[in-house]
Amino acid sequence: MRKFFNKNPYLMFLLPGIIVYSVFVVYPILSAGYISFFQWNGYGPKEYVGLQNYKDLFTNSNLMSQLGNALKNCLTIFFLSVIIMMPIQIIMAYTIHSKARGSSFFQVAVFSPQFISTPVIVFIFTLLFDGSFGIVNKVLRETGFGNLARPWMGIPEYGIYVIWFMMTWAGMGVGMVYFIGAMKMISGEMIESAYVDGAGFWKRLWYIVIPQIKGTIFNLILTSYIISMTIFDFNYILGGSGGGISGSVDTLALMFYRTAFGENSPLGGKVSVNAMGMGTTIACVLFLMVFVVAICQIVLMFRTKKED
Amino acid sequence: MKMKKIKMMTLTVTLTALLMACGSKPAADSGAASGTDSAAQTQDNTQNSVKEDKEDKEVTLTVWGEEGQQALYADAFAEINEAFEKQNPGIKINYQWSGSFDSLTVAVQTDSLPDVFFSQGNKNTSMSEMAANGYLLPLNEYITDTSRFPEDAYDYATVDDVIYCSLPAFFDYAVVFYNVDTFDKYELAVPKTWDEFLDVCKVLQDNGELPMAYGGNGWLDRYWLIGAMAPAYMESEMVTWNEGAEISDYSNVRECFEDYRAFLDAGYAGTDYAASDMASAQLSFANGQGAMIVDGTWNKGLYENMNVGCFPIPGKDGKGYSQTGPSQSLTYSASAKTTEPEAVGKYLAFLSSEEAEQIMFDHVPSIPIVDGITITDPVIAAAAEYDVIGQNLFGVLSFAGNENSQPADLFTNDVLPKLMTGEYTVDEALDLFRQELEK
Repeated sequence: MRKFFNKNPYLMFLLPGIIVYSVFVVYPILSAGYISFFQWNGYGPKEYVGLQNYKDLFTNSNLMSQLGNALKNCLTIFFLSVIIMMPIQIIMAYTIHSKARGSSFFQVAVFSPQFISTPVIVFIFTLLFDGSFGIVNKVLRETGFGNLARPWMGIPEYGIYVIWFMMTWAGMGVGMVYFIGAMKMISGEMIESAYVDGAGFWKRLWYIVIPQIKGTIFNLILTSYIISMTIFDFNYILGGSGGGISGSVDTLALMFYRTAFGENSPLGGKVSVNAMGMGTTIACVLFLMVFVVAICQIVLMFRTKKED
Repeated sequence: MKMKKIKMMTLTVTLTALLMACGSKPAADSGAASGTDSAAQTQDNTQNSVKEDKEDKEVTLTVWGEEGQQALYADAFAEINEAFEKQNPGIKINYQWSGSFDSLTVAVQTDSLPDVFFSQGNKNTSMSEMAANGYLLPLNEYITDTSRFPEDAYDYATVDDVIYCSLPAFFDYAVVFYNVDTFDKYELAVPKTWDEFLDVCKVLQDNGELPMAYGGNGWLDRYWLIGAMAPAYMESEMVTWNEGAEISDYSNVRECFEDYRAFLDAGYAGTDYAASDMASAQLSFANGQGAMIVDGTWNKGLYENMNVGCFPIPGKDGKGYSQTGPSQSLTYSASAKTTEPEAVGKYLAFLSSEEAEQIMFDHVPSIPIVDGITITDPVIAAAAEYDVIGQNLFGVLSFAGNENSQPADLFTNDVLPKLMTGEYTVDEALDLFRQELEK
């Protein structure tokens, strides 16, 4: 053993991290995977059912429709984030990086919502958009457009977009800071020569900056994917564990939550015979969805780096 | 060299201790790894928190109150706990508003239940599941006098004649609260039949008032109206489902669905009910923007600053219908692993005492089901004027479910919201509902 560690001394440095990671990350994941092979209500004895929970999840029409709807909502948030939010973050980051007038104030202002917790963010938006006391509706009524006043936060058709908008408002600054960090790594001379050659703001951004921050863009796409697939808090606050009317704001994490823990109700109810078994099955499927994409993206990124 | 050995040994011991700490299995063979955050949180509140202060022999009991009801019951429990501590100088109550269904489930799986925690009795199967698996302390030894309580209350607290939670002393249900000033303005009387109820709504609507503030956005929010209507339309069907039998004639269920839909189609709940939640509806009603609201008697306090009255929802037969449901305000269970069963027993016996009931009633007036408490609040007195105690639709559907069907979930998450928004016709909603119940 000593010989082995003498030959590979770096393992001694890695070992504590690996052990802590295994205990706090790998073990819970494997344990959840283990429970997913059982029928279990969370209280009594477990009954081994093999892959039956997975089979049920993908063959039961009700579960499948919930899963499909939740996945659709998660992907909607992801695509909106990548297509709309990310370009705005890059532009804002470059504006700040270019030291435009007032950029420091702008940076703080955009980043500050990050310090606000989710319930408070929802409350702020409620103050703005509530049907009875929201400022937006008050303005509409005062200006003669009272017929347009609506409880905007709760309209089922807009639900997932409202969630995305609040997430974007709160998280805009984080991605922006990452991009600013990446832009700081770009050689100033390169930008200056492009400037001297007559490249304007947009050309410099498109031809110089974006190719140089490709790695960060990849990383943030992956992060957005993980956040979108695992989002819970905004949706729970706005739509409850049921995920809103017709699952308008349902997500995979919410589906796991209501399956595993049921819908809390002062009216009582019945503990599902397979609450924990099916709940952990959903959690494992969600984990695989994130894990596989993350691995693909990391491989792709390494290949791109190698080619570069 | 020696130093190296010492360092290696220290590292090995530390890592072994860490692994042992994380790898310890709960007694209940849970293996619950998915709720790591909650588990970590709940572990802080284990039965170990029952500490005996060696100096003055004081016992501290950790009690988990119902997280979602803190605003409602906080004052009452502050007074109840104070009174209990006064009578039992050696026992301190560490009352935390951290009990939720999730935290209790995780606590069970991690073997870290607090000494005492809120319970829904037989309204939920979790008490019987916990009892069957040995997590609960039997209380017959401590709660000895149950003669004051009606049979329903006793059934609520027992599994196979063993008491597992303090007994409920109150009854609450969803009534129709109404704005007395608005009713007076249009000279409206409290309706005695469903048709009179619709007439009242029509008059209010014709006068530009919103007859009913209704929050349809949350699954429980949208439930209250049809939950209140259900006993008036399909009581016998619900009794049949409750007995585990099937029904062949769904005409009463259809009528209930049709009248619910017709009520909404008539605009009596306005136009934006699907986008409003219960809090919005309550706010609207409290601010005079809705003449009525279907809400629980326990929420009467929300409307204290207005001139409010209430009535049980009227059926077509002219009877006022309530829905069964002992109040869980005072019902608490105890962990079988508490190190202080005597103190726990005293506390739960106190919660089942007239003194605790009176304190609760003074703070949150409800309909008493035990003798010795007189209703003085006119609104609660009106709520107690029901003719029929009907079934609780959600409870009935929950218990009608089996391995293959979950009618309560289907009803609240699919049938009802889509019936409400018109996405399903009454026929479609009924077919789905029926199929699930017949699985």
